Amino acid sequence: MLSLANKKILIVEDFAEFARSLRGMLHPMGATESKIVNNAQDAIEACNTTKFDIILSDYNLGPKKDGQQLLEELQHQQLIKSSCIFIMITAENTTSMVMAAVEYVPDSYIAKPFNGNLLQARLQKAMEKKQAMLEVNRALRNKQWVEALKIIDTVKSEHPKFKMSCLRAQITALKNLKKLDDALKIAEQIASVRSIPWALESIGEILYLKKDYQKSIAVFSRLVAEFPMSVDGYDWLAKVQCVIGESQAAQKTIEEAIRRSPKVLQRQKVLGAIAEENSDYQTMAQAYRDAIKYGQYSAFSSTEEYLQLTSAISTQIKQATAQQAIQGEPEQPQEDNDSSSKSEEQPELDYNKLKAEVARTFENIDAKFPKSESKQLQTKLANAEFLFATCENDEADVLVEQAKETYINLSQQLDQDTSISVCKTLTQMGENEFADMVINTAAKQYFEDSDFIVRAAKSCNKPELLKLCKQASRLNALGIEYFEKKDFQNAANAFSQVYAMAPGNINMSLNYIQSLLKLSTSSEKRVELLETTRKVLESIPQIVFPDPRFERYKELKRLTLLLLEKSNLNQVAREESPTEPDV
Amino acid sequence: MTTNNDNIFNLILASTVHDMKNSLSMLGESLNVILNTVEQQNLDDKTKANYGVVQYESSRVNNSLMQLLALYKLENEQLPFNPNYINVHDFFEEQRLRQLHLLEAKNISCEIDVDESVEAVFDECLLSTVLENIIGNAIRYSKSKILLSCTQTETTNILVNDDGPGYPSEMIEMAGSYIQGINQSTGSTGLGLVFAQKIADIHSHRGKLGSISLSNNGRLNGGTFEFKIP
Repeated sequence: MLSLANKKILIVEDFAEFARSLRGMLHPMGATESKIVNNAQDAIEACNTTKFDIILSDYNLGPKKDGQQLLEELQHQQLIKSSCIFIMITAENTTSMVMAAVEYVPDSYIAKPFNGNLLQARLQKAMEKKQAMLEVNRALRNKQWVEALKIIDTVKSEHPKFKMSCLRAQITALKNLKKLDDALKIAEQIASVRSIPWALESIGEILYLKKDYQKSIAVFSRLVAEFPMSVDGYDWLAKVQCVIGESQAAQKTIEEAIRRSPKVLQRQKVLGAIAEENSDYQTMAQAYRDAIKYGQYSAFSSTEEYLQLTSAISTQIKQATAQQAIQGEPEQPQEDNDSSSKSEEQPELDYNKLKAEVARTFENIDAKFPKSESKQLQTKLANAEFLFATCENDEADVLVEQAKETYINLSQQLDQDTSISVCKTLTQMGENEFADMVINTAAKQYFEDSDFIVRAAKSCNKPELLKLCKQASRLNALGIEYFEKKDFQNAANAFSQVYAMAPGNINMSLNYIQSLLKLSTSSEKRVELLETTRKVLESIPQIVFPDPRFERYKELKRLTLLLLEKSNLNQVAREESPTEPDV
Repeated sequence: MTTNNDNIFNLILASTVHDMKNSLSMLGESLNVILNTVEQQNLDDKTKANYGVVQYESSRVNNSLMQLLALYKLENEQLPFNPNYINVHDFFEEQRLRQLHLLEAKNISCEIDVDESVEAVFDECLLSTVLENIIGNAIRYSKSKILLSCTQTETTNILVNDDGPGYPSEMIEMAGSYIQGINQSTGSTGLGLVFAQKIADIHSHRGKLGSISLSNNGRLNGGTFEFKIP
């Protein structure tokens, strides 16, 4: 029998009557500690001070954040513990799948109206599952894939009821361990028995990871044909179509997804990016407008959609101006009656309206996002781009110079996407030399990430980047091979060469450090090696959480300092005891 | 911009249904609040019966609204269909709990006959909407008992049995074309069965469609509704 005694419960519901009625339903289950809030913001604040065991949240929470955005924010900020049960209360019975297109899924959906008995059954089921899957989910979240696979085997035999969830977790773990064929086998096995949407999606994704793009497209096409509301399927299909260069088809696909489910920030951003590739700046502008609109209360909103909107508008204006220059004064009546040439053009632009929109967008960036060097740099460039488009060249030049200065004085490295976007904007403004410098620097900083290099080479139209990075990548692979064979001397040699080639590359520096540390434990030149390690460590530019490399950096730094301390102590001890043989 | 009539209907239907559903919940909640001001034991049988009527009727309206909305979405390729492996016993238990108030008010028992390990592949939300309507009807016509059962051969068969007078023979004969059952004069809207039929249709597997059927003299000697998943 379910008992909610001592369970901390949060009810998030904008209808006071319904919130009270919910509390009334929980009472016979032994609930004594339930708190009621009527909007997402208050819920977030409540979670800041209390770690709740159960959260019951309505999906519709008034004009600001909805229940899904609340869940995302709570997970994103890690305000709820992993054992917390989150139940989403919906008005409709059929929203689950559309909403499943998001990263975080609640433990259960329950459709209004419902009674206490049903709620109790749902809670019980959710708690049972959460309990059974707790260790699995924890391992997955901590990216301990091997550990996860072990736990999954146990859970699968102890709880046959959760077999499907286990298989799904197993596929995730195998995928991350790059055991793609094993993962594929499981997913195909499930899909061969029944057409299950998530299994088909897994197959398509694994084929994509295996770079088998045609097969992947076939699977996603089947998925959306069989399940037309599977918006994930369209998202994936568009992604694969983009990779094989079919960006026109990709745009149609993502527009289908948006027709079915428009209110997703990420999806609008994807449309914007594809439309940009297709030089469809009107669609691009609209997509980023929608991204801003739907992302207004989302934890995932970023300066990117704001800057991309101003960029799209700048390009629209630039194109319209160029067109006018060819066709002459726009006020003059057309000489011939051929309207077909007119219909191909973009619709008439309302300059004043666009100017006001751009100004407002910059204001919003300032107001909404914390100050950062990278934001400052990008805003200056976007502003310059817009001023160039509207022919205010002098003001634009000033901003470009300021932006360059900001770049040179950066205290942290730019992230991948910002590097690409800065390079692109600079190129558009004719600053080719500086643009090259930016992207070459980024290429060195991230050369081991082949996806990034491919993206950068394509976006910045610099195919030579690929060659540049091949040598370093090869050396790095060699180093890893030696490292795995525990040949730390050769590993350190390889990594030291890579380090010399790309000193600003954080992952490479960390690889070098790791091999040096390993080497130092068995080498006679320990002190010397640890000194080198310290120097490499000190050369690493500032990184902070949530940079994915931060955890590794922190751990290696801790180890280095520990070993340094130990070796200093030993040295002192040795000097004090002359009986020790000299090293 | 062209304004499409169809889009207007789409928008209005979806927002109106939500609004009506909210109104229904508010009505129900308000009734609960009123009733809570009175001591339960002070309620006379007539008030209790009236309370039951309000609950039953509002859940019927709610269920009809859900079906309407789902049918509309189905026609417009907007109905999410997300089949998954579902534990049938748990599923039945939830259906029973959903109707518990009404079952108790009418003093009808609801039994479940399926092994606890049985699983079937279907869309839980959609089938739940189907069964809510069917079980609601069964409660209306049965004398004392309802039985939810499931058999698995090459198909999975979900059955709702009651001990009432059974379905009228015209209804049973309409198998496969329940849309003809829409009859203003008999008061049968046909919605429940048309909806069930449509939901069965989309539960297809390897080219075979799902189906529904009605019969009499079932396991409780009354009517039996059957939902077949291939």
